[in-house]
Amino acid sequence: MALIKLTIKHLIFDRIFLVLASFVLLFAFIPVFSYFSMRQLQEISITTSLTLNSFILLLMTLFGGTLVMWRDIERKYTYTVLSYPITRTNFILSKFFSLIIILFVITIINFAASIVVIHISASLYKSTLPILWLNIFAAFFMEFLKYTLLLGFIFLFASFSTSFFTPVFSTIAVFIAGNASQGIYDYIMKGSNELSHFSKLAAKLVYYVLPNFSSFDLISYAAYSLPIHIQSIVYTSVYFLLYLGAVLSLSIAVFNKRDFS
Amino acid sequence: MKKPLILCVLFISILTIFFPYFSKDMRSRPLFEKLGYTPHGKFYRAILGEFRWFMGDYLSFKSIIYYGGNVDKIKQGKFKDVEFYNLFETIQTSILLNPYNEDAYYFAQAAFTWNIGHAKDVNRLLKYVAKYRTWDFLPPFFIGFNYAYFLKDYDKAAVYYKKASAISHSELFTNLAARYFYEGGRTELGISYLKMMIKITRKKSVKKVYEIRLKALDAIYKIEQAIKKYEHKYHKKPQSIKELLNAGFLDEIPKDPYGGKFYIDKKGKVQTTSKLTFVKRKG
Repeated sequence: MALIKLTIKHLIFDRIFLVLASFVLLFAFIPVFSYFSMRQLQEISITTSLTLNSFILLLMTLFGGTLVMWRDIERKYTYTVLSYPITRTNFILSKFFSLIIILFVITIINFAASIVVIHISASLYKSTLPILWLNIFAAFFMEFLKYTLLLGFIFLFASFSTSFFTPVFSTIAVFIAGNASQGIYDYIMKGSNELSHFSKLAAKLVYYVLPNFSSFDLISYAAYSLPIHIQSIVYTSVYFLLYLGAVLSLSIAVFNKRDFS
Repeated sequence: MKKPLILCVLFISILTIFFPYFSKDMRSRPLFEKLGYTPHGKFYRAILGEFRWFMGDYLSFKSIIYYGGNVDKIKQGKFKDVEFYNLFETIQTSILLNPYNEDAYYFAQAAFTWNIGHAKDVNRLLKYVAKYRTWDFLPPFFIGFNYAYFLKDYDKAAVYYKKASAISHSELFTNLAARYFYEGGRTELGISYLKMMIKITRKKSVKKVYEIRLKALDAIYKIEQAIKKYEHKYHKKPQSIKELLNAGFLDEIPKDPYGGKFYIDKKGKVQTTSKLTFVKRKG
């Protein structure tokens, strides 16, 4: 617990982190941006709010994750901490949970800012669609889960890497692949009659191994007030828990074997 | 401390002097650089993840702003000076990225049908949008209108007008279609369509374009009605609009808001020298 508090404190006072957090101020420009729209100011402001939240969380995840793992190892801080009676598992989990808490708080702040800007945009031109706040909150929360999962990958790569770049670029690659996996899988399976059994199997394997980030995307449901099926939310949440469990366990296993001397 | 400050002031001064030249160069660059080439939507969609929705909105804004900047050329009928191909590709990508995007299909309908003659391509986009926006009557309404007015495929038009009626729970579209099919009033259909568009359009600049076209169609409709009355009375077609005036079926020759002059062609149809685009002013 003390380590969680300490990590949060360190991060909050970190200059890079503060710069990233100040991106929240960009929410103020959303009503101006949505004003360019011909007929869907409300929908644009919801889409933009969720996109901005996603962007902020992405930067926070990439830099926050790298800051707490790589920098601490680089400055021999990890070595000092681990000389105290604290297990490596506890160390890595404390770091991970402190970042999750920060990501969650930022998501809530962004959601609160969105409520204001969406109200402003919606008052400028009446949309034919209602604002479903529950859908919007669900979309924000799913983005939070998505970046928590991505954070797991940063920890996995940082657990064995000695350079700053490996965790960052590997995680970006996972992010892109995870976003594309569903689309590419659907595309391949559409023309599956022409594919060999082996190719189909290989495509399925890659699809199962890569994280499926598209399942966390509820932006269209939030912006265009589409009905969200509870079953999809439950499936995605279970998928999230299982996948995160696997990634974190692997990170801990690798980190436990790491030689710091 | 002083040296860097002096250097900074020097750079800013040189930049201030240099900027007009830079800006002039930017203006003179080929048009495609301003709108740019947009990668294919499917490629974008695969890598962008949840950023695709925002990117879809952004691309439609980019198109609307580009179109707004070239509106004078469009009004004057200088269509070759406008990158319509890139514009269409951008809107197409925007729709692929965010098929719920209302601005994109609305803009496609406004920009690519009347003067450009891409009603068939626009209908393809609208059909794609209609699959997603199942609550919205506008895509089937636009498809129906395009089939009837531009493509003259009345059977298909009827199908889509019926769909628009079912979604909006209004008989307006089926009534419109029926009136058009049985009375052959192409101008009347155009007038009804434009009146509706003026009612639902938010942007003043777009509204203005519709209002001018409506004025022109109103004038054509007035002349067409006078021709009908003339034919009914004299059992022959009038040779000119002046004949209608002399026979008392018109109080005055209606003005073409595009600056052209109305005339009756050899087939007895009302035409205008402006071809419904703004006539270039001399000088």
